[in-house]
Amino acid sequence: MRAAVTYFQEPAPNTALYVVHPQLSYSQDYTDHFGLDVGYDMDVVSGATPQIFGVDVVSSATEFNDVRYNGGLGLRFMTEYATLRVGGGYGGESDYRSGTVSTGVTADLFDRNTQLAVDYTHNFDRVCDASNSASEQLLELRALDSSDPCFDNDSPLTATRKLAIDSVQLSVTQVATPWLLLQFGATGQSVRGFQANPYRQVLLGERAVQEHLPRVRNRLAVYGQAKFALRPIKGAIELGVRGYFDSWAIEGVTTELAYDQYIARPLSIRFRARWHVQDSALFYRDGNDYASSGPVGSYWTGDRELSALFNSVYGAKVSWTARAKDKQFLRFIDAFVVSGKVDLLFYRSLTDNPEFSPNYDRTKGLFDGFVAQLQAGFDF
Amino acid sequence: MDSHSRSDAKLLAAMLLLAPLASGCARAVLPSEKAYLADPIMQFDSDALEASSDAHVMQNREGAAGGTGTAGGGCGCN
Repeated sequence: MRAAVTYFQEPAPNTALYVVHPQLSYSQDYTDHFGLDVGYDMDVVSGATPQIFGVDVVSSATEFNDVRYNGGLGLRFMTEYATLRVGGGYGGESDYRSGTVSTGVTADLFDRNTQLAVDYTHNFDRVCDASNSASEQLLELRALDSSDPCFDNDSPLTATRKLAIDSVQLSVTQVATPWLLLQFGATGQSVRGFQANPYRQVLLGERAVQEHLPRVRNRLAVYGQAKFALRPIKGAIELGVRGYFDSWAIEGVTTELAYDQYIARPLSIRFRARWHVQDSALFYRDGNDYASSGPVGSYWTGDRELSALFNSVYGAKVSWTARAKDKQFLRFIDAFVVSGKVDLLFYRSLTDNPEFSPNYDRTKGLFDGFVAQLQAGFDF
Repeated sequence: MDSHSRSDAKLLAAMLLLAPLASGCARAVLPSEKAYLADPIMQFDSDALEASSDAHVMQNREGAAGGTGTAGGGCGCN
C-alpha cells in the first residue's frame, strides 16, 4: 500500500496554477495466480487562465477552481511465466468524464532474460462544451462560459461531446549483461472526437472564436532506455530517449538522464534531468499572427502543448526503505517505504514570437514550475 | 528546431533505440549473475505513483504522450 501527496505550482505572475494531488494505491497477490490492484487519486486545482489567446494575458485571465478525481481497479492472473491484466477506471471533473477499460499481458522469455509486455486501453470520454450546433459557422463558435450546467441534458447552454481514445503500448525489457538492463518499445494512440479546450478563445482578426481543432489525432511514440549498475559505488545510471510524431505534424524528442546512489543502505538519493523539444502543430500560430493574419486553414489553437517549445526538468529524490529481517513489523508488515522529491521545471518557447506564445507569462520567474512529493507506504 | 539539429536528435534516438537489438548477440545472463539487477534501484519506473504523477504533469505541458516505459524488469526473475 502506498500513499503520496504531490504539490505542483506554476508561479506565473498572471496565470499562476496550484495543484494538490493526493494518490492512494493498494496492490496484493491473494494467491500465486491472482492479484488485485486498486488506485485512487485527485487533483485539487486553483489558479488563473487566459480566456482569449492573442490579447493581453492580464486582461483576459480569469480565476478558476476545480477538483478532479480518478479511481481504478485491476485484476492480475498469473502463471509461472506470464501475467494477464484486466482493469477499468472512472474519472471526472466538473466539465469532463472519463471511463477506461484496459487489458495487457507480460511474458518472461529466454530464461527470464527478456520480458515482453503489451497493453491496450480504451477511453470512453465525454467533454462539456457550449451548445454550438453542428451547422454553426466556424467563426461563430462560442466558448463555454462556465461548467455550472455541464452534463445536464435539460440545459440549453451546454452540450456533451464524445472523445474516444485507443492506446496500444508494446515494450521489450532485456537483461543484456549482469550490470546492464535495456528496454525499448512504442506507444500508438488514436484520439477521435472533441479535443479543444471548450473555454479557450483565439483572437482571429478582431473576433474571439472558440478554439477549433481537428477531430482525429494519431500519435506514435518510440523509446529506448538503459540502466547501468555501478557496482563499486552501489549506484545506477539511467538514460532514456523518446521520439514522438503525430498526425498534427508535431515532432518531438525527449531525453532523460538519472543517477541513483545509496548514501547508506537503505537510504538512497536519485538525481534526474529531463529535456523535451518539439515542433509546433501544423495549424499553430503565435497570438499576434492569428490576430493579424488569421488562422491556418480551418483550425486554431492557443494551447501551449501544440506550440514549439523546449521544456526541462531537474530534480532530486530521497528514498528510505526499512525491510523486516527476522520478524515482521507489527506481525504483518515486511517493509516501510518513505520518499520525498523536488523537481524544478523550466519552459522555453521556440516559436517565432515567444512574447505572443501561450507559455510567455509562465517564463518570467527564477523557475517556471515546481513539484514537491511526499510518499509513504508499506509492503505486507 | 532547425533541420540540422533535428537530424542529429533523430540519429541519436535511432542509435539508442537500436542498441537493445545488439544485446541479442550476448550470451544469456544466468540467475546467479543477477544480484545487481535485483537491486530496487535497477527497476525501471520502480515508483508507480511518482511515474503516474510525472506523466500527468508533463502530458499537460507537452504535445507528446506515451513512450514513457514499462515498470519492472530489473532482475528478470519475477
